[in-house]
Amino acid sequence: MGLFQNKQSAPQLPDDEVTEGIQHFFDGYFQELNERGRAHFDDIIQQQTAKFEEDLSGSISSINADLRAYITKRIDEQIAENAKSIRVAQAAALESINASVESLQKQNASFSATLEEQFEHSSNAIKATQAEATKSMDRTVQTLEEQHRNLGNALQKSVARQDTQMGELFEQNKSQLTDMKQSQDAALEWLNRSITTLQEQQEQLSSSFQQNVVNQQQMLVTAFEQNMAQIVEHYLLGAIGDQFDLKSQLPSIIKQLEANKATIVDDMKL
Amino acid sequence: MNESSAKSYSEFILPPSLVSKLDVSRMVTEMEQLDNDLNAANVRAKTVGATEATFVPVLSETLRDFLIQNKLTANDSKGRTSLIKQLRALKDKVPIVHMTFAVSADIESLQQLVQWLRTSVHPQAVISVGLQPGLVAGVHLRTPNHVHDFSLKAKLAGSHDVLIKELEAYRG
Repeated sequence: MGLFQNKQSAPQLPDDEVTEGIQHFFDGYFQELNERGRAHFDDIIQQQTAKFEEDLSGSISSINADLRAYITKRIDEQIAENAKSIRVAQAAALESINASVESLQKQNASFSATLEEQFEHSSNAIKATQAEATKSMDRTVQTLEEQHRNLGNALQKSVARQDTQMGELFEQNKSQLTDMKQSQDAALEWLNRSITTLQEQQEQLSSSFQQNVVNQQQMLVTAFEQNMAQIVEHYLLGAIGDQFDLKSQLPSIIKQLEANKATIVDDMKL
Repeated sequence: MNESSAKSYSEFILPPSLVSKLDVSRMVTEMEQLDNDLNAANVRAKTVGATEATFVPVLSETLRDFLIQNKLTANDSKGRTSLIKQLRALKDKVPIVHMTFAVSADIESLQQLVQWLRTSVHPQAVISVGLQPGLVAGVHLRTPNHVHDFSLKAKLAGSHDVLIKELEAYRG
C-alpha cells in the first residue's frame, strides 16, 4: 500500500461519500495496472515465442542431418551383412546340390541294374510262354481238324434228311394246292351267282325307289296345292289389310247390311 | 218443356251425332248437370234478386240437336226432371248393334251407318264399335241373337275350295 503513502488525506466528508470516492479511485487504478501488465506479458510472450521458434528450427535441422547420417550408416552396414549372408547361403546351396547330384547318380545306377535284371527275367518268361502257346496252338489245330471232320459228316447227314423231308412236303403242298384251286373255282362260281342276284335286287330297288319318288312328288304337289290356297289367302290378307279405310268400305258394308236387313230387323224386334 | 212431359223415351228422335250408347250416357249426364245449374241459378235469383234469364247455359251439339229435333225446351224444372227420367230409361232400353271393323272408324262413317240402322232397322238403334285388324275389310256384326260376319277374312275362308279348284284347273 505504499502507493498511497504520498497521497493527501481526503477532506472530511460524510462516510458514504468518502467510501464511494475511494472505491472509484481504486477501480480506475487497478484497471490501468491490469492493462499495462497484459501488454507487458504479450510482448514477453511474443519475444519468447520467436526465440523458441528459432531454437526449434535449428534443433530440427540438426536432428535431420544426424538422422540422415545415422540411416546411411545403418543401411551400409545392413547391405554388408546381407552380402555376407548371401555368400554363405550360396556356398551351402552348392554343397547341397552336389550332394543331391551324387545321390541321384547312385540311384540311377541302382535303377539301371534293377531294370536289367527285370528285362532278363521277362525275356525268359516270354520265351517260356511262347513255347507253351505254340504247344497249345498245335493241340487246338488238331482238335479243330477233328471237329471239322465231325461237322462235315453231320452236315452231309442233315442235308440228306432235309432233302427227304422237302420231297415229302412238296408232295403234300401239291395236293393242297389242287384242293385250293378247286375251292377257288367253287367260290368264283358262287360269287358270280351272287352278283347276278344283286343285280336283280338292284333293279328291283331302283324301280321301287323311282316309284316312291313319284309318289312323294305327287304327295308334295297335292300338299302344295292344298296349302297354296292358304298361302294366297295369307298374301291377300297381308297385302290389302291396310289399304281400305272405313269410308271406302262403307258402300260394300251397307250393301251387305241391306242384303241381310230382314234377318237383322227380326233379331232386333225380338 | 211443354211436350216433354207427354213424350215417352220410345218416341224420342235421336240425332245423327248420337252414335253410341256412350253418347246417350253423356247426354244424360249433361242434362243432369244442366238441371242442377238451372236450379242453382233459380235459387240464386230468388235470394239475390237477379232473374233466371241472366244464366245462359252452354249446350253440346248432341244435346242441342236432340232438344231441337224433339222440340223440347229446358226452362221448366219439372219438365227437366221428367226429361232426365225418360233419358235414363232410353239409356237402359236403347237397342245396341255391335259392329267390329278392321280399321278405326271415323265419325262420319259411323253416322252414316247409324242413320241406315235407324231408317231400316230401329229408329233408336245405336252402335257399339270394336276394332279387329284381322278382319282385313268389311264388318263383323252382332245383334242380340245373331252374328253376321261380313268381313273379307270370312269370305276368303269360305272360298278355299274354289281356290283349290282354280289351281287344279290351271294345273290341267
